[in-house]
Amino acid sequence: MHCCKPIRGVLQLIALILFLSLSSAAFAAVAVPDVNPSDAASVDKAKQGMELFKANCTSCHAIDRKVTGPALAGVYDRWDSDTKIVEWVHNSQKLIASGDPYANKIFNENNKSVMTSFPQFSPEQISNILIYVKAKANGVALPFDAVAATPATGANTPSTTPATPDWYIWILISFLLVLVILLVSVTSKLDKAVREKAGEVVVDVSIDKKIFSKKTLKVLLLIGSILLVFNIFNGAIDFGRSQGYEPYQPIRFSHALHVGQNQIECQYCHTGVEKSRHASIPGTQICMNCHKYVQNGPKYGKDEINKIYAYAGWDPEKQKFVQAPKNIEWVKVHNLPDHVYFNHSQHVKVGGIKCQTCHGKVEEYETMKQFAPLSMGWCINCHRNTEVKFAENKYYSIFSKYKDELKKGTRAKVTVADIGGTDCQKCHY
Amino acid sequence: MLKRYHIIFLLFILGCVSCIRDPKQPGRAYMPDMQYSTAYDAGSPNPIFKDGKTDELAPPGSVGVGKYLYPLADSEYEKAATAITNPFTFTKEQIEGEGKHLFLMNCAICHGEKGDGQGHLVQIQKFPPPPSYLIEPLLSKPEGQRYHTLMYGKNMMGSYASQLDHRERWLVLSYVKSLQMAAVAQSKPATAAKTDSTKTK
Repeated sequence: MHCCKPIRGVLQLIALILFLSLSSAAFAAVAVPDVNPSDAASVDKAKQGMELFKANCTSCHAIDRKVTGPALAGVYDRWDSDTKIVEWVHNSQKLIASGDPYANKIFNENNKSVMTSFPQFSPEQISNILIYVKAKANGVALPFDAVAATPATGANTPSTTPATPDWYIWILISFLLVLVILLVSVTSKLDKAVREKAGEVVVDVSIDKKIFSKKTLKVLLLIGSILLVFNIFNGAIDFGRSQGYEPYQPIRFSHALHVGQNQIECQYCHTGVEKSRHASIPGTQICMNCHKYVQNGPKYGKDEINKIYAYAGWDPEKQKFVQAPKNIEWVKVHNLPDHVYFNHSQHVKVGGIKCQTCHGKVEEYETMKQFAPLSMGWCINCHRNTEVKFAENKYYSIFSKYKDELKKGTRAKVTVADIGGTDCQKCHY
Repeated sequence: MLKRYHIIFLLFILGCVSCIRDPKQPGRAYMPDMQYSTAYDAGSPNPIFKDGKTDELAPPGSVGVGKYLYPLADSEYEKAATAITNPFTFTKEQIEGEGKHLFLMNCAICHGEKGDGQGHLVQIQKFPPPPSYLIEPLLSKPEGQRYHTLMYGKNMMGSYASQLDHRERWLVLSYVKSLQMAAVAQSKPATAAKTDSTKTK
């Protein structure tokens, strides 16, 4: 017992020190009450906090990770007093200038980006924001927040059902063929049995002789040659065209996700489409407009988005560009021959043709593919049928003959072909 | 006999599978030298330049004909308030037509069609909401600072200098202003009516 006494004393001392240090840490942090979902007043505070947070903070702060500013989860533990955090929000530069060590530390940690001052916030409003942040960080289910989330995700589940693959049809066909053969053999056997009962002498013809009789051979020969000629013709027409071309791309970019679900306009990324011959493939800086924030994809997780970061030279941890950008070598899908001139702006801006007319339902494509044959016949057909916006476009005011005819009623419409859309030199020069 | 079967079956199978193209390959061309451009096209790789692309940026310090050189650096946000002003006067038709179109294409996905910061990406909770144009502090933000934000981006927003040219940027900003004016005009009669009713009481 005697020998234990000093040890017990040491243990008590350690416990005391631990208790003191823990309690001092607890006192030092900003006290933020937890949200009690059954208490209307505390829920209301968190709701006010959410509104303020979403209107003022989210353009720089996320709760669970660093964006432009640091992650806000645990911010209440990192500051050592209520007044300082309020001072920081009101005017962070003033607090940094006063020499506060923690203020200077976070300023330096975050690329010295100056936080926008919010002098209009009362300490109570700031505390409300912190209540909301803490509730979100701890995963407390907030009734008002959850309601807002469910209809949005529900409305945006992909409406496209996966297309039935080709092999499915082939399995079905082979199954039916086997069925036919079985039925034929059963009926022939039954037939034979009936005839034998009647007293007929039935010569057994072997099955392969039946199949390879002269008659079937002739039919097969006919079908085979027709198919061959048809295929050779089609193949010859398809020569130099690439309808359905769907190459592998360096990044598995999904139009179905970006255009279909997220409803980002085509022109957001393909900025040249209304101004130039080319629709233009976006550079990494356009990807980074959103992917500075969006680091996780729904299908491939971080894999594909990390590829963008590697190309752009972006460090998601430090939230800044650390390397010179590299070129993403996308594989061009729509290739017109060199001797054909095509201009996107003429078709999209002037003609008002929808992207989908020539590119198909891109909003449903997982990988980009060539929808149209891009053949000359396809171009010309469209030029023959498409009506020109004759009345609205002032450029066509010089076509006085057509105008008169339209007025008189002798002409129903002016097509692209009527204004030279089928002339050779329109596209070949 | 067996030989004849073989030939016929081969013909049949050949007929079925001939000319099937691998969709991962572009296929063949009649005359490749007419099909593929020997000149470097925009967007095609280019071994002549160091960075390997044909689309080159203008050399630093040079300004293209008809292009605009923005005089301020990224850090001069405060200065932009007075230094940058709109050199264009747009008609209402231009603002409501072109300006609205550009706004819907480039901005509305986050900022919302009304400019309230509730775009589609915000509503499906994929992107955090940007501040609303229709309330302070953005309501009275000087137009020069707005232009500066378009040039260099701000906080979560990226730069739109490459997507929009000088005129288009001012068109978009004019449309944003028209949105704000419409919102202010809408809220004013309501508050005026409120004060009126309190007066009569």
